[in-house]
Amino acid sequence: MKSLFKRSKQRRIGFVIVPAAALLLAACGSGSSNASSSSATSTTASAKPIQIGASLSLTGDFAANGKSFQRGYAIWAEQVNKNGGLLGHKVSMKILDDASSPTQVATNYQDLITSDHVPLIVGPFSSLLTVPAATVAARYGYAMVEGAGGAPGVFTHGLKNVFDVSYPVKDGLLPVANWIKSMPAGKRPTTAAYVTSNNIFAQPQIAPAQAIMQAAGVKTVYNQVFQSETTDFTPLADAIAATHAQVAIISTTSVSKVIAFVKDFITQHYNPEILVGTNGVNQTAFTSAIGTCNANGIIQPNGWYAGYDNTLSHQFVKAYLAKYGGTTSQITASSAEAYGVGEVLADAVNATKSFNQAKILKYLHSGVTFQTLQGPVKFNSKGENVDGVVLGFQWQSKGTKYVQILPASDKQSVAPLFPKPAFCS
Amino acid sequence: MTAETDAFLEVKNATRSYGGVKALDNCSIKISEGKITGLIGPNGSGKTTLFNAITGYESIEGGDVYFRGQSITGKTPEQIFALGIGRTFQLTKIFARMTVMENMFIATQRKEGWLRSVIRPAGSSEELDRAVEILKFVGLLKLAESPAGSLSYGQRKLLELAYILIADPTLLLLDEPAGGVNLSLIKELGDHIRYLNSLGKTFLIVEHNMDFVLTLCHEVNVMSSGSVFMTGKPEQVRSDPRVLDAYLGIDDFEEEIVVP
Amino acid sequence: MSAGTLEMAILDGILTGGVYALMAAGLTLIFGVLDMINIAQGIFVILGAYASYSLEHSFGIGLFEGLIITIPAMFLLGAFIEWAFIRRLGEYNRVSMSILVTYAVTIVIEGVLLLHFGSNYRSLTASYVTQSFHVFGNYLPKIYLYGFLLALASVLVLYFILYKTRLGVSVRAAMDNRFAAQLVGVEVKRVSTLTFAIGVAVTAVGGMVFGAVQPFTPNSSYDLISRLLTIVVLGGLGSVGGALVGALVMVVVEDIISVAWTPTWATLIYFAVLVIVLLLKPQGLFGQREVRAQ
Repeated sequence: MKSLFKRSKQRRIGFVIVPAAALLLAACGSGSSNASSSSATSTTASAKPIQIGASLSLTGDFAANGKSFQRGYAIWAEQVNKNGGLLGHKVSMKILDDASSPTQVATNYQDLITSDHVPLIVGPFSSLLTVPAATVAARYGYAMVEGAGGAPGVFTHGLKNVFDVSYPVKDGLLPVANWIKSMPAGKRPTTAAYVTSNNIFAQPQIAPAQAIMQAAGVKTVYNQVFQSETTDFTPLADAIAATHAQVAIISTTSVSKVIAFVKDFITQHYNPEILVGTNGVNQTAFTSAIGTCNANGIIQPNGWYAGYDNTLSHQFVKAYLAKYGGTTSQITASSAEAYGVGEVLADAVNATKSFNQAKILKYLHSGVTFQTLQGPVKFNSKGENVDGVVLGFQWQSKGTKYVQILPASDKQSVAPLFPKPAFCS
Repeated sequence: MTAETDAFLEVKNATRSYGGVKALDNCSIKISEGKITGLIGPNGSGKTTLFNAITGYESIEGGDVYFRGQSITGKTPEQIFALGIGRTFQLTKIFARMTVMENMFIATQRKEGWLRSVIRPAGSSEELDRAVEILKFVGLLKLAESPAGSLSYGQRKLLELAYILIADPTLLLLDEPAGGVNLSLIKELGDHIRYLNSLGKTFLIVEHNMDFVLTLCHEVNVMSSGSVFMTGKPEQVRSDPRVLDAYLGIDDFEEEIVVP
Repeated sequence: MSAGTLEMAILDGILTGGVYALMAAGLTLIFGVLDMINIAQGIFVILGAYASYSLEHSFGIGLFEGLIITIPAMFLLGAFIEWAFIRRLGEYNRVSMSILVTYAVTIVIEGVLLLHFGSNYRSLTASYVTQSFHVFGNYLPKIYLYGFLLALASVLVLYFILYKTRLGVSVRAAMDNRFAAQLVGVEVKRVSTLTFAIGVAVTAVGGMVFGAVQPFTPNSSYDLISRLLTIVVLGGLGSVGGALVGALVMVVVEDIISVAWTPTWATLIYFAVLVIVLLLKPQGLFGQREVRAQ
């Protein structure tokens, strides 16, 4: 059986875990670890090893990000073990696949807590799955530190156990909006088109940015919300192209949708001066679908990138490259978010010297500032990271370099390509 | 498999039961070549089951069916049709969404490689001629391009007969051909059968219309409780008290038997 | 909304609808002849897309040239699946059993694709995927036009086979009255295999165009099959013409609503249309339930 899955360790996990989890469930799991993405090293820890549970979208719409998360968690566990483990316990990740489904994610956390009896859990990918996941965790008094549940909707459920280490999603487009606002009047675009998927990650980003831009005299010429079930994006994209808006903002959770819009913009020869996609723009699926050269000048906000100047970030990048190889540009923000989750959770455990969830929750709520690879993290009463930093990135050099451009005041930022160069084909 | 019988079609000791009920109980029948043979009996006596057994739609638990001396027991309906046994149904089976002419081509589809069947057009000119000839014979030619679903009940019966004739079967099994058909069409139908018989076709006909059966058939078999209990000339059957007995106790006796 | 946008949306709808029509035609054909719901039609489309992708990436074979290989390959796969699984279905609970069996086929194919390609989005690329024609002051993406023409040609071939060939007569006879067709010597088993194979073969074309228009993962099949099912239900189960009309109605209605009003309600309006049609005509636009009941 094993040889079948030899191709890639990463793929193996997705396939083995689900049946294995079912078996474990049937046997009222005593915590066998052959199914988990064990990142054990030869270091021997004094106490019994522990498992940290998570449900990730290894298949389905969020699979690309889910797998990035998996890598981030794996590296974190490895680093923890290198430094002697958590309170002397070696850690390993127990990851179940939720196939990007909000019902499966709830089942998975339920299983992790009630049948696998994991002492600690960490969050899933995406705001859409964080709410059901955290609701289950709250039922059992578990803290859920997470890295990809920053949508406003996550914090309006009165959950006292959610802590998002990334920036609040509603702030996502603010650097872009503020950049436009800061432009001299003669240079500043005057029209903008907004289109967003109707989900809790994509939609809340629009209004705050739109308010700033309108105040700065940027007229809204198109503003629509589409359903994720939409089959044909061409008429929407055509309609946006027909407005000739100078700024086009596409807010989605799935890379496939931003691809559909940009592909159509290319065929329509529509070249807005500023083109922003809130998600997926940095993925290779995006650049290979539309053509590397066509990506030139397209912007995406994000919290982190491999060039981020922070000691913890440098450590993470080094460990990532050692474990997975490749180049720094292949490391996604999602992996870093996951790693950041681990850092915060480990700090909380070390500070309270316990795996007691009540103590951990109390500590996370205490207003203390954590240092992570994404910068400082400080939670307000709802669990939002009030210190969260949003950066803006852009494809430059004909789509070969993904660089930080915003905020302009940041010393890491390079000059943005403005207006966006025309599409190559 | 060897010629164990000199009859054209012979069923030997066929048995078939549904649950506890024996639809065919040691049933035997012989059909002579070139004759029109009738099969009568009250409802539930096993006539249609016998038809199904002969044409391969139902397997029999015991007994054998021979056609021209060869056993055809256990063969599929397609195989039996290909051997030259055609059949119509009590509830007429036509292809309502296809035109009358297209219905005629269905029965010509057998014995062909699948690739050829994709390349070759439906209906060769030779088949077209035959189809026209047969449609003319049954009087449906002027409706050739109409959807079969638009035909009247009687016309559907004629179409069913017509599209089976194109495959040139030597034995035709007709299940209640006159059922629900108006009087003038019944007469026409009788004429068609006689004419086809004069061309050498053998018929086995299940029918409740006694007048129709007794005037048309050369020989009549009477079934009751799953087996044939008498065979004879129409006049013998008409006068045999056992026949009337067989129909007694049937609720719809008056409708079932039309005594001339 | 500027002038011409609505016209473009309708044109887009027709072009995209044509591709859905082809995929749905395969599905409805299979239903008509085999009396079964082929849930796997969605994953066959995705498999077709991956087949085009592999030929392009591994052998440098262009999308259209690749069809010479992928169409027969999908045909053979269809024939195999019919022979291996569908033929074993009995008459009892046939439709529900067929859903289970083809769902299992879906899961297996999806698993194989996940193992081999992973779950990242893939896209088919070619120069014409991002190029367009300039007509009447509007840009018309080349791939939509090519895809539509290809789908149209495939539908015409399908119609030719169905209405002009001996196999077509057998197929339609089996769709009309499976039992009676068998009676007059139509080899329903063989016709079933061929129909299933043809129904699957069209997904090679559908998958290629689908993959060129939008990115796909092995999981993309579920959205697709749910759409295809609504199309064939709208058009009338078992009616090829109905599938064509149903597909056009679906995409054109959504596109018009998207542009003339708002994309937020576009999908909902289409489903409202579907519900209204089914209330007025439960057998769908071109369904002939009374005939099938014979």
